[in-house]
Amino acid sequence: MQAVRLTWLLTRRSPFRAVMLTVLMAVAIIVFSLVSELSRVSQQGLDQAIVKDAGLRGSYQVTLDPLLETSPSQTYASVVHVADAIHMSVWGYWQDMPSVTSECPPYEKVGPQQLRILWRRPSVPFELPFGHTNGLDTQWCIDGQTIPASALYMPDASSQAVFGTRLYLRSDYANLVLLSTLAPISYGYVLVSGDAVDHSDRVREAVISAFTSAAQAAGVDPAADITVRRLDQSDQNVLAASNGVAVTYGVIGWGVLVLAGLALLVVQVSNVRQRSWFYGLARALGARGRRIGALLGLEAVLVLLAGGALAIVVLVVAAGPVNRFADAAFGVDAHVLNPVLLPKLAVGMAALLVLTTVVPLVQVLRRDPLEVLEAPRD
Amino acid sequence: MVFQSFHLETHLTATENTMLSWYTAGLGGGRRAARARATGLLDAVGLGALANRLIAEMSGGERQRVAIARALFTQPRLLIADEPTGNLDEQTAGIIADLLWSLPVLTGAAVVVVTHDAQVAGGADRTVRLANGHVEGQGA
Repeated sequence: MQAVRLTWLLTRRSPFRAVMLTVLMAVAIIVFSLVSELSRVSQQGLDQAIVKDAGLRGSYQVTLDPLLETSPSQTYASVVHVADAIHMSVWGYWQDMPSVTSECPPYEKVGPQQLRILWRRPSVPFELPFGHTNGLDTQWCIDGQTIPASALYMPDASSQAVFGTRLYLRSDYANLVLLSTLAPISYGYVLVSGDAVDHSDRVREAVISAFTSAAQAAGVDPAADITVRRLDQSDQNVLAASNGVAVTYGVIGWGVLVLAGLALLVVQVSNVRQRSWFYGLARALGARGRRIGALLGLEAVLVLLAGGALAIVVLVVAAGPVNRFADAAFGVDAHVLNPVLLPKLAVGMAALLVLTTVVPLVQVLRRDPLEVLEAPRD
Repeated sequence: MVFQSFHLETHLTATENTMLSWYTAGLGGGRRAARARATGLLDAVGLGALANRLIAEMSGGERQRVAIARALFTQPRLLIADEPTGNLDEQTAGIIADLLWSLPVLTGAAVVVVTHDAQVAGGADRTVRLANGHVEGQGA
């Protein structure tokens, strides 16, 4: 407590150095947060663009024979089990309705269609932009009932890499289609590895193994009727560029933090040299090494805390403009006070604290206090 | 110890400098008690009225008296003063010397003063003359 009081007293009476260091730390934290968030949003923006143009990264389409006698939820559970076993995730699944033709215009333009419903998981449909029918002003009529255009979605060119060229149906109209036909429904699942390696064989083997008994019970050949297809990827260069951008931003962010840390260290070391008499006197008056360490550490903690607080205030003020910039530039939301950054910042600050305490402390303890005090000053 | 160049923190007051060992050495007792002791010592060295003045605003003689008060804060049995008047004018040096030689009576501490000033040395109960690291003579 005494050490805290003394640190506070010295800082209060001679605030210039502390203020300068606080501003320096605040600038470092602000730049680190902004650059880290910029890195995240730019990569997210690029990745979203890549997904739009080239499909999901490392994705596999698994199509099961419609005759497999398992319920959709059982099948989904089995696919999730397979995905877990091979360290992948299930992006979602589709349900392809039997082929039907609309009974009202413009059926002559659209022709027979297998309407598709896209599910994240059982009972949770994907939020697709229903009502967007890619310029096709249509509705669907079955058995005298009408499915409005607001329940249909036709992907445009920019979304076809992910969603294909099917006509999508909102899930609450599924029964209307199913009542019109007895033909079987087929299901397809998308498994995502997230990497660029081709896992097709591994996926095929795992899926066939999981569904062999169901296929045999249904009298179908699993090897022939369960298909696994790796979705085309033509994005390697863009992905590499996206990763490059993230690495560059990361280097800049950490670089600024490290530079600020070095500046703090240099100031601390020079401060210790300048005030060596003070630490020598403290030792001559009976202060042990850990109390001197506490004095040095507290000074650094004060600067880091004040710098952090100042940075938070500035980042709160800057959050609006940064978010608008990120939205305009990359089409994604930015959070400059992103909790994800906190562990990184905490590690950086802890390293700084240790460095800016230990180095000057070693310097103080290596010198004989009397030798320090014999040197004239004033 | 008392030094020729005072070694006081100029941004702190006389009281705060006097109780420096309470801050740095982790001496027991509360802050109020430490403050009271420091102001008492400053009174004893004739600086009671300047207890809350910053060292930066004090003269050389006043600074050295604060340094003596600081040295007495831990109630030492032995106080060593290394050229305590080396940075002071003759008149102030005399005042500081008188103060130092009165300490054994005031506090019970033995006082050893290292000095080149014969006038300062003249107040001691016992003197030891050193030259080139050897004792040249002693006197009472």
